Amino acid sequence: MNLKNVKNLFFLKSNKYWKYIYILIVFALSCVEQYTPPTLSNKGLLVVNGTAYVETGTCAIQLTRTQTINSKENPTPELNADVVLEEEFGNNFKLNDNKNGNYVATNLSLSYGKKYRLKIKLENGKNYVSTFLATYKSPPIKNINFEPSEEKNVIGNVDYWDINIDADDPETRNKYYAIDYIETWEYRSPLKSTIYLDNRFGLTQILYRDDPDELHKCWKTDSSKSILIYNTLNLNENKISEFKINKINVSTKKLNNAYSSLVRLTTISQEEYRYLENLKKNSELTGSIFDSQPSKVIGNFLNLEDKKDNALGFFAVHSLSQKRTTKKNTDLPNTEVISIQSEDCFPTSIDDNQGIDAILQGYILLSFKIDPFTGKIIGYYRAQQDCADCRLVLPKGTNIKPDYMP
Amino acid sequence: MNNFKTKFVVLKEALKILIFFLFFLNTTNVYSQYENTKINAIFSNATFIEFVNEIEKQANCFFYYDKTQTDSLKINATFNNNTLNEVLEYITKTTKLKFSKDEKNSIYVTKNTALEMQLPIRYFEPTVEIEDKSIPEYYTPTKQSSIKSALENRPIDIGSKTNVSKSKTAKITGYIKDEKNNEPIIGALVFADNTPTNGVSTDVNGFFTIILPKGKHEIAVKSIGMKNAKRQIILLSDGKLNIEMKEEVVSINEVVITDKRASNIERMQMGMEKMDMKSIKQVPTVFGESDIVRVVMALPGVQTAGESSTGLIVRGGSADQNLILFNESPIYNPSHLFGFFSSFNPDVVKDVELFKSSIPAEYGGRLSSVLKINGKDADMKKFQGNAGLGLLTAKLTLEIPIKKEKTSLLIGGRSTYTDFLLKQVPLKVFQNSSASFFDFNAQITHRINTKNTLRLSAYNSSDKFSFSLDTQFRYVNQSYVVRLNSILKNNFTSEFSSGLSRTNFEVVSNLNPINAYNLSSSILQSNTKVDFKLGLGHSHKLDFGAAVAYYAIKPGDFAPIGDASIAKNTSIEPEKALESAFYLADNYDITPRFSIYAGLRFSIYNYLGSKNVNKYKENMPLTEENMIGVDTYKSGQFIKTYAGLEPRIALKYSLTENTSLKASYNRNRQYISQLSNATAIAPTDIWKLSDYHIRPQIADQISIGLYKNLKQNMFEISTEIYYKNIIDAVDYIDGARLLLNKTIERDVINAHGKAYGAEFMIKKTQGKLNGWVSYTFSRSLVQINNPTQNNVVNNGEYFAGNFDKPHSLNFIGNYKITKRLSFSLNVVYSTGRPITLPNAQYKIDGIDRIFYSDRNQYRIPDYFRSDIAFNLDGNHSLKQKLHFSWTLSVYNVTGRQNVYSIFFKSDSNGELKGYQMSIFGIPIPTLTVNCRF
Repeated sequence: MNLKNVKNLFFLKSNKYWKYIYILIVFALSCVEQYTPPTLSNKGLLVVNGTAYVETGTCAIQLTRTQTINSKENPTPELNADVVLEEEFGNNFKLNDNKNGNYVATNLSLSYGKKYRLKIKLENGKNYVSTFLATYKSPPIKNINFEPSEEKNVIGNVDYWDINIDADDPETRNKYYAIDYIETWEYRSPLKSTIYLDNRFGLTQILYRDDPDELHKCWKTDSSKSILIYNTLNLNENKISEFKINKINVSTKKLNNAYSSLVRLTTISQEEYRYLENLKKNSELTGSIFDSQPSKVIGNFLNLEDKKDNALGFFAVHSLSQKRTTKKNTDLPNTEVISIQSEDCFPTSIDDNQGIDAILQGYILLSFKIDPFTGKIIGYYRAQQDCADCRLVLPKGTNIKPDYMP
Repeated sequence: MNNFKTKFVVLKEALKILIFFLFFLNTTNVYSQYENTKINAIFSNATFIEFVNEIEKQANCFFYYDKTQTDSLKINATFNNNTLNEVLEYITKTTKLKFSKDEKNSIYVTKNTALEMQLPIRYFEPTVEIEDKSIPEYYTPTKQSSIKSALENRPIDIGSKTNVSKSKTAKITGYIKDEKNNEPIIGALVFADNTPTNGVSTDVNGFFTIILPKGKHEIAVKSIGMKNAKRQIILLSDGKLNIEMKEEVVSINEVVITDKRASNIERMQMGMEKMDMKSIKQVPTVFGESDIVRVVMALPGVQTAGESSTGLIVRGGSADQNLILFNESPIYNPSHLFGFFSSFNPDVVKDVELFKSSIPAEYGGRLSSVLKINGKDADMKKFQGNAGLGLLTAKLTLEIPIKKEKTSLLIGGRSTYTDFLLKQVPLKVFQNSSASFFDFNAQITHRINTKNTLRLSAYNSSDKFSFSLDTQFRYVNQSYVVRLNSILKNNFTSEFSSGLSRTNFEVVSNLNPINAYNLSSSILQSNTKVDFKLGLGHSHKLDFGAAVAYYAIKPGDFAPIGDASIAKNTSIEPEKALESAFYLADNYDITPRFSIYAGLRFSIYNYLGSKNVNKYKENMPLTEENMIGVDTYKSGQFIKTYAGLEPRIALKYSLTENTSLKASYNRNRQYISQLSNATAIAPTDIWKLSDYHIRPQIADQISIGLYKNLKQNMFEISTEIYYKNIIDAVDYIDGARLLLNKTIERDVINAHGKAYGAEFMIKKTQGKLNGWVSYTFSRSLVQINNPTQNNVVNNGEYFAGNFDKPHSLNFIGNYKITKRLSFSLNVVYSTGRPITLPNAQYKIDGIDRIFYSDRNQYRIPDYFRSDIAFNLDGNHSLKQKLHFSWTLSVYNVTGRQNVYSIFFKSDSNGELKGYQMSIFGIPIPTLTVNCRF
């Protein structure tokens, strides 16, 4: 075998090899493609969502079914079930079927230290029961702190505020906590509507609004979107210190006016902590290079007749400790008020004699157009509804001021 | 000059004989009837040179001789009209010199034995066509080396005539060394008379022993990366023969003698690959860093744990089932920069061996493979260095002879400047991040005497990275080894090694002074090993030895930083264990065609106190409720002992000269495993010893392979099939917590695994185009079915293991465009690894959640990547002080976004979204400059 034969074998006679290298590369280039996840069958497992609170004596449970992944529809409610809250060696409380899969009981007398479980009997005869779990008293929240970001932008303003909490729990031996919060913030519509069209009494008249901010100031309330859990296993004291629960970017405009957060702290059992931790691992702590593998997370419900049939969710009677903090923009130094002007929102003028009904389709009146010399009303300004009605402006809140807001 | 040129063409046939022929060029080629020339001369105490000058003048002939052999001669003679023959006969009588003449008026002077003027017939047979008629630019012959080369064809006496024993055979011992730096050549095949089946391999000192019938032989030596060498010998009695081999010079027009059978057919081991650094350096890699482990991953049966991991998956076994030895010392975490590349500096490495089917009895403690990385000995003759600059790293290696031919020092270091690069990125995230690493190697090689060589090696690699200023990760690997290689008798050698290896990681968080902490974990292993190799007669080679390893693991220490911190000192009790092993193996050539390797390894493992061990009710799940107490063991007390035999058997049958059939059976026991619940091995994964509850892993493997070489070994074709059964493989319960877990036994479970597959490889070893194509079919399955322990996964049925990739295809090729420019292409394809996908979604408190069902029921999309590289070597002139080479490489030239993982995450609105992540989804070009001096 001499070299010539080898060359022939590999089609690499002089000058030709570039061609083959080229072909190889082009072949390789054509291999780019997109990934589409396979469609998985919907098993339609029962989902139990809800809790009972010792302090309020209420229990609210929602029963639904699981959906296929990326489903945009609302979950199917589980109707006509019997739901009973059972105290170990004690009373049973039956929950009222409030329709749409909601089951509620009020005025319950629940106590700390006792064990409770939930029993569910479905319309199809299947029985699910949660494990008996004790109730722990939650410690009070000591502080809710607002910490500005260390880095400041060129004009010395902060980029974001971190919210963290402190709590001391010297009494309980339990070391597991779950935290959530409900935040409310005031926001404004880009344009202000001070007049409105009044059609009462068969008359069409344009009147000034009693409250000029009626559709200008709105409030949005939202709940926390991630699982916040904390344990003090590695600490000498049962103390929650500066546990970060939220980060608010100034650019979200949530801090433009007033911001309020109701933080809830719940002492939970080790079982519930494990459940929440795994749930969090599965759906929040993913996407890094060293992710742990997802696991099957079920909760604490069992079908006594069929162990392979799972109901998802975790039930325990909780004790609620909550604290509210409210801040105005001026309470937070170096916090810029982000402009709410929008390129899509601008007033347009209309003349007085035009049929007012016809031109207000999808529009809202802003103010009178006044002749600067005569002082007479010569027309109106209007704008698109989602520019001047804060209820239609994102994030689409309410214009009824909650009483805790300044 | 025409004559000159045509003659020169002949020179190119073999570098080995090139110098030999150069003699012809320096002489005028005039034929003369020297027999008839009469010589008249008087020599009185004349030197041999004076004698030669006179005779050359008168007889118009030319002498070739070794000055050292003739220096001391004094010639006293008077010649009066004598013929040349008469003159030479007279000199022969008075001195021990022998003269051989050829028809071209050349006279070769040797001592004792005359040179045979008939070259061995087969010598010119494998002649390769000459392509380039120009003189190679780099080779400047010296007289010294020419004589050395002339030795190739001149018969050498081995032993002495006076010391004749009655035995019909005699033993030759000697060293095979690299001519350039006197380094021993390990694993070279030494054989006689074209029958490599009777060959022997050199040991770590380059030492060999071969027994041959007395008489004339041709001894040949083959080794990877070296040019074949040979000697004509006349074996009189036991004696010595040292052979220096030349490195195969790549950039010169290659001349290869290809009529010998190669070692892949010959050697006993199957599923074994050996690669030298030259072939490793040709392979394009990410960021242009030559990477041993990345090249190993292109071999059949070897896969990667993921794009960002240097974890090797060998025949379906997890990454911790590979014993990675660097200079005989185990390295636990051989990766840099989150695992993007391995922590072995290619400049200090000599070669790499991977054993995946039949693991020799001297190695144990891991189930899947042994990856043996052999460090270089520094040049003993002259100072040398190597410097390189790449996208990420700068490196420098120096070879310093401390005492010529006696002691040398090798030091090599590599460091990043990524910190500097990150700071240049105008994004805060990058500026606040840092990633840096370095590795350092040093080795002193000392030849105590001809029989003993001592080596002291040190290795240190360190990584540090943080994604924001507050949390920092650090990890360190260290190893220190002393090795003593001795020749006890001619056919009896030993290697003693003793060393320490240490690995530790640390996470430091200063985010909040109230709970600032430091988390660390470490593993310390000290091991001592002694190996003997004994040749018994012609056909038995015995290997035996013993090894002891002591492990001390700190699974996790959590400590506060600063006075303000209320972090609680948490410490998981340290673990200690002793692993001892003895082995004996015989390599027995039953017939020239049929050989058997029978080895037996016995290992004993003691889990040692002091320690508190949780005890549970028998045959009940290991849960809090079933715990019945805690047993306290004193320091040094045996808590649990595991022991077992590990048979290692291999058979080889040569079907033809170029084909062999091999089979092997192996059992391996593993007492230490890495706990990793992540897809890729993370630097923070801790190691765990087998303990009271967690049993050692045991694997049995059967392999059968067929090996065939074609076209004078230009192509090596191999195929192997294997079946592996793993008892007590380490696995985890769903949602296991592995770090700082005081009841880790509740989260770790013993599973059952099986793996099987077939591997095919075609390798072209010579010519302008070389490289290999390999295809592997493999399955790796796991079963977790232990209802009494409440551990049942996927209904107790077999499911695909985390690294089950049924199909994989690799191409690695290098094409020499010119002497100095070469092009490399790397193509990798494999089936996507299994993943667990969610079955359903649901809402809890308004947040979308997902429900994952059975483990590993789906796969990520297939992996495909191709890399290219151009390697340009600078001028090869020997006179030049600095030799530069440039490598331009593009990793993932197609920019394919290979899916690394798929995950589902609730976004800030609580809405569930599916994402796929790819690493290096764009082509990454790199320019690397290397400089040798």
